[in-house]
Amino acid sequence: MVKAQVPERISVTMYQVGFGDCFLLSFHYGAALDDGRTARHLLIDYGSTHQAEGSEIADVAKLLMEHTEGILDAVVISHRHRDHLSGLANSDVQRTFDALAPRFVLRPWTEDPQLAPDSDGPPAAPDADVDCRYVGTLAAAQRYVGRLDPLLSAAVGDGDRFAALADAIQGEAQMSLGVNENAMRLLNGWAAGGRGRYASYGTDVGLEDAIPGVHCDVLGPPLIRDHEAITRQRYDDAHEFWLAQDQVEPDDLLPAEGGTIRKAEQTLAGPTRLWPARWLLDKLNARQHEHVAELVDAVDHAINNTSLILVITAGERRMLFPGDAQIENWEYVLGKDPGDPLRSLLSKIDLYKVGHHGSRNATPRTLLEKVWNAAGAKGHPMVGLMSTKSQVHGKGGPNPVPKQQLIDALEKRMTLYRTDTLETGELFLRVEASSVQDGIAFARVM
Amino acid sequence: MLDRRDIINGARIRDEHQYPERLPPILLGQSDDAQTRQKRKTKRDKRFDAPRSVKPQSVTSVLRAGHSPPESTPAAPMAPSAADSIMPPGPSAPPDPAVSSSTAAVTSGMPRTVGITIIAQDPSMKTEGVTDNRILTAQVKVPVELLEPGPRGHRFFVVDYDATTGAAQPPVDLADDRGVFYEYFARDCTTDDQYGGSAEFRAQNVYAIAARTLSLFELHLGRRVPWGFDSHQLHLVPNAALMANAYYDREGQAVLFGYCDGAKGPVQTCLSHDVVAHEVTHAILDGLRPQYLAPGLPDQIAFHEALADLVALLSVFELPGVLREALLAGMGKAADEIRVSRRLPARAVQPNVLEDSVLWAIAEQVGKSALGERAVRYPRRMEAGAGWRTDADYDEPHRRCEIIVTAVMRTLSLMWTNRLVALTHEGFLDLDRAVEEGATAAGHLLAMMIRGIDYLPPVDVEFEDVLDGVLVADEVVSPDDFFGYRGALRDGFALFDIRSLTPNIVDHTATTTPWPTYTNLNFTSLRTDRDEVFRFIWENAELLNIDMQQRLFVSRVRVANRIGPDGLAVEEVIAEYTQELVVPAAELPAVCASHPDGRADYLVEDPDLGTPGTTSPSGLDAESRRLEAPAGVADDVEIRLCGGGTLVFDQFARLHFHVRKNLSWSNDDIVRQQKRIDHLYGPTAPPQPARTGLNPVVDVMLAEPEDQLW
Repeated sequence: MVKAQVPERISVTMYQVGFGDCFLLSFHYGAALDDGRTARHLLIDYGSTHQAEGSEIADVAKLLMEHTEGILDAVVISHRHRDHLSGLANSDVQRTFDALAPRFVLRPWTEDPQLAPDSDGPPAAPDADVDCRYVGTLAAAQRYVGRLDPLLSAAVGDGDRFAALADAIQGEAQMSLGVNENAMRLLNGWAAGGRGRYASYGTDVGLEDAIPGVHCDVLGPPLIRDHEAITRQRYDDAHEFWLAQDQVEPDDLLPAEGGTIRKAEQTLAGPTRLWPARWLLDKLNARQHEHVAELVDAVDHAINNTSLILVITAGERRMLFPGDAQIENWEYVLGKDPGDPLRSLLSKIDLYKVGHHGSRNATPRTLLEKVWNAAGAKGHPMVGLMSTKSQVHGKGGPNPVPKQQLIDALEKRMTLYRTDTLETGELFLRVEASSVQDGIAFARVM
Repeated sequence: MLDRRDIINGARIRDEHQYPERLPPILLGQSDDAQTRQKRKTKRDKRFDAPRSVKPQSVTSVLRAGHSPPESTPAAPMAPSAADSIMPPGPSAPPDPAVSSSTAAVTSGMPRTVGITIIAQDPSMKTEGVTDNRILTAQVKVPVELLEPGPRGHRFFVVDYDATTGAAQPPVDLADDRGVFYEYFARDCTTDDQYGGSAEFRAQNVYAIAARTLSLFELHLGRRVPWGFDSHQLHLVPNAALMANAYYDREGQAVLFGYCDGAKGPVQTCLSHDVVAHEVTHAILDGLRPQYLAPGLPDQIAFHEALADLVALLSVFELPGVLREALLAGMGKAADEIRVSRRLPARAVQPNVLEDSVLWAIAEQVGKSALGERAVRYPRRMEAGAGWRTDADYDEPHRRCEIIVTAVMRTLSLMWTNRLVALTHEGFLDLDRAVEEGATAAGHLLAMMIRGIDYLPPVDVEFEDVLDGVLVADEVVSPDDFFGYRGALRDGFALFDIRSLTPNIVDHTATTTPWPTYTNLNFTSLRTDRDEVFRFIWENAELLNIDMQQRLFVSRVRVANRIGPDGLAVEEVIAEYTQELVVPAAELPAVCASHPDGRADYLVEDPDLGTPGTTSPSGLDAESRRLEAPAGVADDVEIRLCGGGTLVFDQFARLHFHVRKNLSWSNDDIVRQQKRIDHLYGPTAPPQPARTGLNPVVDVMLAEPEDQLW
């Protein structure tokens, strides 16, 4: 039996996409593989909501063509937020990507068409019902948030009522507003014909078929039916709740003709406009805004928590890519015994893609303080890659993205590379390492 | 002159906003003739004019007609009771306020209560056989007050503003010329659409249910109940926003009712009797126990939800038609025959049958109707046992409250059965009597639960305190317990391993308890003055086991009037005090220590300087308890410890009961404080501030453990 080849060198390229993620993992082999090539390329995410100064998302596509020499072997889309797949919606990019034709497309289990509410296929397993319901819940939630789009973008004649709301939720809502139809169509096209893989905790995705000698372990997200710590009841309640919200028609959310606070005051108080509870109208509007903002926040959290948490192992090197997974997703694997086969992978990580662009709730403290700073692991060299842009989310508040406290803690433990500190015009940053020698750190080469 | 048809069509509302009546007289022009003066009179002035439609009657003619003369009654409000009746829809004669009671005919023409039509349960509850698939309505008795457009009374203010669309409805005028409620709407309502589609009816429905719920509390507590905020009026917003929720907002001084589309059509939570009663109960309890919405033990916010659910459910049970239909529905094919014969077999009124087929069946309907097949949340029956104490699911308030609701439902079925024992003859009993006894039992149980609130501590309430408070309060007014209510309540709670913990309620009139000192205390002052209550506490702190080293504040003192077992009025003075201590997490272990023999000490570094009541850390033994912060809490996080108590003084100015949850440092207190610290500052800390909405889903979706965040 021919021993599978193992790549000798790995390079990880982090592209400048502003507030978004786009990573290319390139595996270089000592000898030619079956198809005569000596490299394999894996793309993890390609999206942005706020570009860096002086760059366009489509520029990255040209670089990708160059860096992959025209062939992309595998694509991972960690979750369906815009900042992880919007690049695929661009029509110029689509032409480029069609040429790249990846033969392995990995997405979270929630994207599995078998689980879609209107699918005719049988459910994946006899007790898949709660998982199907969860996918339906997410779809209903996204539709509801999508209907907020006309409300936010067309605050016609009512700027004072909706401007504050728009500011408050713009960041989160932009991620979820509508489903990025073009990108999904491209991905579904690639995934057709058996090339699509849908993973949850512990799924064997078979990345070796596309990239020999490289193994991919999936540490999250768990299936709902497997996650004992989360009650079924919570997800059942959420399902009913979003189905109710889903009944909302877009017209219902738009202001009634001439519906301003002043008009309401006049109606309630009469010509004198002296009325004992004027301030109540402001309070009611503020509550409504908070309520809508919370719903959008809840959708944002839920979608983030569908992120794939991947550990990609090639030879001696292990790389952790958790997408935008938040604590609820992480707690499943972190709750396992330290001796658990998947949990134990976390104790020796060479490269960490910082979760959720450096926000406060995507790098569990347990991971940084207890796992990577534990007695046996402390000396192991690590590199961090953070793809982010400041002044986009949480600006001026107590929890900006990225959060400085997290950055300080990361820099104490690893060498951290960031796209928000790249020069204008610098379109990517690359680190490389040998995959055959132990104890070698990734080093920046470009 | 507009006739009633115009009023129904809203012409009056649209064209006569009452504004001319409220404009300053100067704008109406100065004129001295009587007609103008009469026109200029506002409703307030006209209140005591003789009603135009009724001639004033002499006392003699009233007595001849068989009515009894008015009794002088204490200032307590009139009692809404199980005499609230189910009214089938369609034309009917509402009580004419001018002659609804003998008092009115003889004195000023002002009645004490008025009947207002409400929707009995939920618009989707349409019953064949009784209402021909029409919405089930009821008439509830509400204390009379001057009603301005809104309607706006002295405790409630209905504001119809929709924050989603920005639309507002003009204030609704539900009053006649004298400012008293007049049943304009339901008299001529012929189709069900008129209920839901009408801003007037929405306003009427929320106002009536809210006012009735408040009057129930005032009746059973024997005093006026303040709101939990600095205002006399609670806003009721019937169509507040497009949301599948309704909630009480203390900061907004309002209860907000949402609307949305359910599976069976448009849903307006303001038309659900149980939702309105539930949310108004949150507002009322917030006035009685404002600390219950502050961070505390999980039982605290769960009790808020449980009481709101119980008031809603028990108010529905008090409507006899609802119980009758549920009893008959449980009889299956025999129902039609029983409807005719009016004889119910005794097997239909066994406790488990009543509980399952009647009470829980109604509770499920109550919840289901709100949003189609499955409601966002409804009180669910849970399995008996003590498993809830260690099950993390039951940390969530809307799940935890099911324990109390189930215990009380079991209690009600036992109470109802006890009342029916004497009425069963040869295996049968009269249907109407059975229903009446059920409604009476529900009313009595509701009274017990409400009276028990005065015997709850102001902070850190636990389910054991609820049981104790209700039992002690009931024993004061009903020492004999003829129907075994208290035994039924003990059995109901015991199902869930909740048993009486009487050390928290001390009876200071018992011979075995030391008596406080009353030297130089002035009881007249004590009835109303918080400083006098503080003086009492100051003089008796050691006896009351109150640690006066920590700041103590008497938050409230009120007089309550109850009817004693001999039928005579009994006055009690009820005062609440609270204490708070804030300590950085790192310093918690250094605060105090308790010993197994019950002693408690402050900790001091230098033992030579020790005074009585202090000890050094080195002087502690292995079984001493100290407080400590949960793992992962930063040293500088401020930990709030709290304590408090309720003092009940009897009509002889003696301290009768002291309900304690102290800051003193006995073993039990330290155990309780540690439980609270672990709950509020540990990895599974609940979201703050606590919310009291129907719908907990958003909180659960957004919860993240603080110790993992940067």
